[in-house]
Amino acid sequence: MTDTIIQFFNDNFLLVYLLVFTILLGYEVVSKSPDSLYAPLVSGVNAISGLVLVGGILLLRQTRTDDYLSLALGFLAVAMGTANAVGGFLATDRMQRPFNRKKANQ
Amino acid sequence: MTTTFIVNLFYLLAAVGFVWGLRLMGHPETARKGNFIAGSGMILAILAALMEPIPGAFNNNVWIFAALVAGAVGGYYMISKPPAAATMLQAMPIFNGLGGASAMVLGLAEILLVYNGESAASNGLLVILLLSILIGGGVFTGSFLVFVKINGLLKDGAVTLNRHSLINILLVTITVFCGIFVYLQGDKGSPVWAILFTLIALISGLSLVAPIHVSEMKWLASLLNACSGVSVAAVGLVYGSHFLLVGGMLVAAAGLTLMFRIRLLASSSPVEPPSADPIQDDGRIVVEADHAALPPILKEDFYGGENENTAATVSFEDTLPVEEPEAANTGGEIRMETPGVEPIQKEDDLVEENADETHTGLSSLNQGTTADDDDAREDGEADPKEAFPGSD
Repeated sequence: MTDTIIQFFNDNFLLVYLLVFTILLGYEVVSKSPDSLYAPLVSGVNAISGLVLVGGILLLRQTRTDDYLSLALGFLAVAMGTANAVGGFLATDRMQRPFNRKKANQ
Repeated sequence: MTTTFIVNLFYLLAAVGFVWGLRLMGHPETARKGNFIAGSGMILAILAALMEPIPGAFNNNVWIFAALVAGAVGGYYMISKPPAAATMLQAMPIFNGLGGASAMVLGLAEILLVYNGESAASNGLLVILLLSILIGGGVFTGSFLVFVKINGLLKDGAVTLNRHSLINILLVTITVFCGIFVYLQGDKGSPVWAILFTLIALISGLSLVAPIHVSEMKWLASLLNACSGVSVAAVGLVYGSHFLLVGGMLVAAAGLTLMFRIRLLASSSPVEPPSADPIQDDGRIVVEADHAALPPILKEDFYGGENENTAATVSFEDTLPVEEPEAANTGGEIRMETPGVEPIQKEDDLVEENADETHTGLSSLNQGTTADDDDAREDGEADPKEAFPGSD
């Protein structure tokens, strides 16, 4: 068991690097934002998680044309992922409007 | 060859767009620009996924475009209803839940393909698929319940059963065992068990969120966000897409960081808003956001823009209750010793005088000054410089 894990680690070391640095980046990018921006930030992060629709597109493209179950599931996945992304970005934009207004008043 | 290069470039640019967009979103002046850049990254990613050369692909373009249009229209329709910015964050958990549901559906579709013998099953793939179903399904129903609670559609505690933590422990155990069972069956399993596992994941999401109080919904929304990021990363592993993996982990890390910071903000403020003396030395009123309050107040708090001041004074507030009785006593003594004060003045005039001179320790006499408090607080909120001290 331990050997398998070590072997996996050695084989995919570049991937491990990538993941560790991504996590550090994700922490660093939001950690210094002011408290008043938490709500739009949470919403923005949520919108980015809509990128799961890319996975749905990849599934749909590989599905046989007569496999209706997979097609339906892929359709659902892409539609829901798109709704997440579109709704998330629009909502974030609306939440950020007050900040622009205040800046204009200043 | 060239197509692969362009596709990879698009994926890279999309990932950079997400990171850069999040970075810009962290500053009030550039927040909207950041949102635009992140959105452009998403469009690049969709283009790349459509162009990506896949050997033996069927390219069900009609289905893909129908799904994209349906999702976009659905998302726009959902957002077009609530008019104010304040309600936007209340609509957010629904979108988060949709993302989780998307990951769950993908995991389910892939595991059904494995059972049909259409894709090769390895142990690692099965674990990842089960993870994406479990986390995605939990995020889906959990976010839905968060949405219901945050909008005040449900009375708090209405969905909490007796011994709810025991039920949750039981549910988690059942989920783990069911997952192990599906895993051990390998590619010879029946779809019934996979669907059963999905159902249990959905129920677990509901049950785990059910006992949590409305006031905790903010950080819970962020935590569910992070979880949906993990499920996206799992989907990325399924399709061998480094872009999905990186994007999902970015969302997970950012969501977790935001969750901890929101929790820190909430826990360092008193649960009950202090009825005594929120006046600061400079005349500003510091009233902590009422985290244990009803949705209308939650809305204001989510709205953002006013919280920065309270955060800056949190440590101040912490020390206040300890000093208060002492200060009240000394205040009383000073009043007695002040030569200019007539004994007759004791009731109302004294309150106003002391409100100007000594701000702390008038807890018993403060009822008379509440009107002033409100005015001062409004002033503090209207001043944009106070809301963003760093933006000058």
